Amino acid sequence: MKRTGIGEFEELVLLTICVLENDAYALDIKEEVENRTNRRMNISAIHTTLYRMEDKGLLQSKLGEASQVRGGKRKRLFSVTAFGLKSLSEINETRSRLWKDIPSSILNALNT
Amino acid sequence: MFSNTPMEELEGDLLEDYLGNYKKYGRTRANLYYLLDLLRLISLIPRSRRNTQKSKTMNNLFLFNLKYSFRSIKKHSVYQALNIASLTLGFTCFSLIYLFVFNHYQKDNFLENPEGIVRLNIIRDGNESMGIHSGIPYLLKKDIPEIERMSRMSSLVMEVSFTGNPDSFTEQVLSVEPDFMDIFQLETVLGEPFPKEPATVLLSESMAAKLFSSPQEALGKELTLTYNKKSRKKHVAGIFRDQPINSSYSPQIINQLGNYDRFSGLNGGLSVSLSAYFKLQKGTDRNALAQKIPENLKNYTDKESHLSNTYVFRTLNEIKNNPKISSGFIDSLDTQTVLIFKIVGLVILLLAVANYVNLTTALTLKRTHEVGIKHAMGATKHNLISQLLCESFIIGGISILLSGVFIAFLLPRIESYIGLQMQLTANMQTWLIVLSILALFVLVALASLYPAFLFSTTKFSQLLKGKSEVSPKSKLLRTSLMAMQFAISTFLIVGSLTFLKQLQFINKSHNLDHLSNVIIVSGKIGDKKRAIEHRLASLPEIERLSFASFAPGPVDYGRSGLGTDEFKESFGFYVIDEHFLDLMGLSIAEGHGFYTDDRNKPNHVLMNQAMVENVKEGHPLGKEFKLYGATQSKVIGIVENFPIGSLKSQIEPALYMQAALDEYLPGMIKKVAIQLKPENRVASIAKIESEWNKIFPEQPFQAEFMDDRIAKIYTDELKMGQLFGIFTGVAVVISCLGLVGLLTYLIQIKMKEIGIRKVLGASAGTLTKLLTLNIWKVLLLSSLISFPLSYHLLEDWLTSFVYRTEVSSELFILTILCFVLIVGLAVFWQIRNAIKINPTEVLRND
Repeated sequence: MKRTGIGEFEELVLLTICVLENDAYALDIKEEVENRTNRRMNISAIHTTLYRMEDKGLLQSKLGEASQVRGGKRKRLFSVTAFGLKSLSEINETRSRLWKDIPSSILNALNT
Repeated sequence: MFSNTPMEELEGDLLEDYLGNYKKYGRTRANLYYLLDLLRLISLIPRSRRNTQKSKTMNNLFLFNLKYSFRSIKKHSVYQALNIASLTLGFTCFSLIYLFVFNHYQKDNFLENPEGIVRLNIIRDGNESMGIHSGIPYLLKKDIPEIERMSRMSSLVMEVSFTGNPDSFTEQVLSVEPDFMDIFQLETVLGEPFPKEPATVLLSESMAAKLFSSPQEALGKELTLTYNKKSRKKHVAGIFRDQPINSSYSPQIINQLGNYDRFSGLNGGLSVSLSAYFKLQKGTDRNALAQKIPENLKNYTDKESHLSNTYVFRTLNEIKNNPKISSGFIDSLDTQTVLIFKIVGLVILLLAVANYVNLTTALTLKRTHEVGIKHAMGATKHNLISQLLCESFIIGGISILLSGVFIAFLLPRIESYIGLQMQLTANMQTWLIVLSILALFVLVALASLYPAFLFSTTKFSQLLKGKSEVSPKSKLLRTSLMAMQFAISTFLIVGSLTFLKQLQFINKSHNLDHLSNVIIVSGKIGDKKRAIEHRLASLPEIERLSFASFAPGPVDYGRSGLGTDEFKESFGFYVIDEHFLDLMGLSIAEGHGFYTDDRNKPNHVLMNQAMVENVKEGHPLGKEFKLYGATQSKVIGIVENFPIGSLKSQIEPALYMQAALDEYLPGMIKKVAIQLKPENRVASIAKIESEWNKIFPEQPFQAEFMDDRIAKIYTDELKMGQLFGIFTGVAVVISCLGLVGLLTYLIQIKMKEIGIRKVLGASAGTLTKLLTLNIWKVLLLSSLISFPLSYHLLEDWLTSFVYRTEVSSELFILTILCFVLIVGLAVFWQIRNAIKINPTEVLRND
């Protein structure tokens, strides 16, 4: 297996962007993650992760239109790149292969 | 916080987040979260810089920079020419000086153990000399195991001639012992390794080739060596290899040292002084060894004259770096001279670089519009700096190439001028060239960094308005660079003036003003004096003539010394005739000169003032001394002291007598001093020559002017003075170029001020004052720094003369005047245009 170098939180953020159907900006992502995990997130944590992943080539970004809502500041909209998607699916495959190979005796414990 | 456009989304997100939190958790917690987020986002700041949008047009590139640099150089061709000129001058001078210095350090690098080659010197009453009792080296070799080899040596300049060739020439002949060849690494090429038979000599390859066309031919041939009228015939027994050209010694003729063992006893009455060279074992402590010598000698003698002296071993290095203890056998160069040249070289390079920085800075400020437009098109600091560096490299490259051409052109000329050959192998030369080019490029880069940063940091908005920023820091730097240049220049000018003053002093001491028409004819005149005097006296071209045993100038016929119990130490004695003092323009301090009428007696003698001190008892005037011949000599007059040789040595006590005193003395007459009438001197000399040839057909006619003779004693000083003069010229030129640059800059930034003042009715005088006041202040400051320093250094140099002039205040005043004149010219040249300018031209834009 090739190392993708994606951390757990990064994976979470990446998946969230996918769920939000790309062109998501930091605050949307934050809320979505908070809703799905029942954890409070810091906006700065999201930002650093986003920029880091952009540097890695997992994300790409563009500036959105300016609007009156946020003091005229534009939003930066992030989308997953092809490389990001591929990395995600690799992780997924690895995991599902592992899941498949877990003996049923152990899985039974989960069901009970 | 993120005021730049690229990070505005962060600001927006933060705001939105804050509002959300405010609703959910209330104000305090929202504030807290906001702060925490801010802190964590600090790590993104470098990213915000990196992502600054760049214009693609300014993103490249080498070629663009190159093209642009050439254009801009062409546009400011006058300034760039100044730049190139000053850099080329600086580089050329620096490289030439350092080539010679490097060459000096390459001397004798082929020796296996240069520290092991030593000469035994003796210090007697504070005076160091190399003449050693011939027994001492012999005994030391016997007793001290650390001494591997020993050779005593005497070097004499002999007349060399050989059968079948009527011409003779003089050459230094070394008389040595067998170990000499080993000590100095002399290899035999042909024949014997040492002249074992007394009637044989060894020749160097080049000497053999010079005399007998080839070394093979020379083997077995016969030479005649003449010294002190005694001729000896010698066969060539062997040929040894020439020393490499970077050797500080190059023996040509090697002779066997006679048998001195019978003089070796330290207690004997008769002794012979010789110099002695040793080869010491590697790692021997020569100082400790030398200290033990008196103890060693105790076993052989109890004579105080041997035991009370201090002995030192001088290595080859010490000998060649100190002309005072060197002998004719080893070439030497004063370390002080080398040091002076090193400093001067560095100073000139420094001047050139300082100048470059100044000029480029000034130029940069002229180009503010250009920088502004480039900024507007999106050029970054990096682009601007690299463009300026590119220009610097082009300028530096041109200068280096030019100075390379100059060096190639000048080097052979300088070599022949100072009589010193460059001794570099081809391999070393390539290395030197590569190294110096690299070093110089680094220098250019360093020197251009400052203007480059200035170029790039000027504020954008101001640039487009055409305003250039004057930061106090950059002003301080420029002013101090200027002050340094001025200080160095004034020092060099004071130095040159002091040198000229000392030269004048020398001319005055030798009475040269008076002697401009005097020629000295040398030859063995002896008892034919009457005949030649008669012939010459009839020539109308001759004003006066005088016969003597000597003439001031280089010593060309060994001096005779004399000493009796009535005098403290021995003194020089000379034969002169009654016209000599008059012709040489010497005056009598006391008593009377030789009488020209019948009051003159053969036993009348004169002495100089130094000799008066030398008399043990009382004042000598009128006294009689037993000196020479049968009769008592009577001192009838005291002549003022005058130098016969260099002013670097003390004037020695001297006694002047007449040829008639004794039958031996006429033989000493070897000079005729002839004062010519000032008209048509060349023809007069030709006439004298034809008369001379009639009387002395066998002797060549050797005549020289008095001032040439004196110049010969000061060859080194004169050459150094000329070189120093050249360097002064170079430094002053470079400083002036720098001044022009500074003025251009000043005028540039004060253009508007000048315009407004002109509109308000300022006169040319006020404007000049406005522009130049600072320069005069800098000049004053640099004089204050440089004058005490130069006073100290020059006083130091002058102490090498026993008789010398003073570094006086008028020299400094003269320097200031001189410099003010030069600076004034440069200022005038630049300011003329600025003052003439039409104020509307400058003010129209505002």
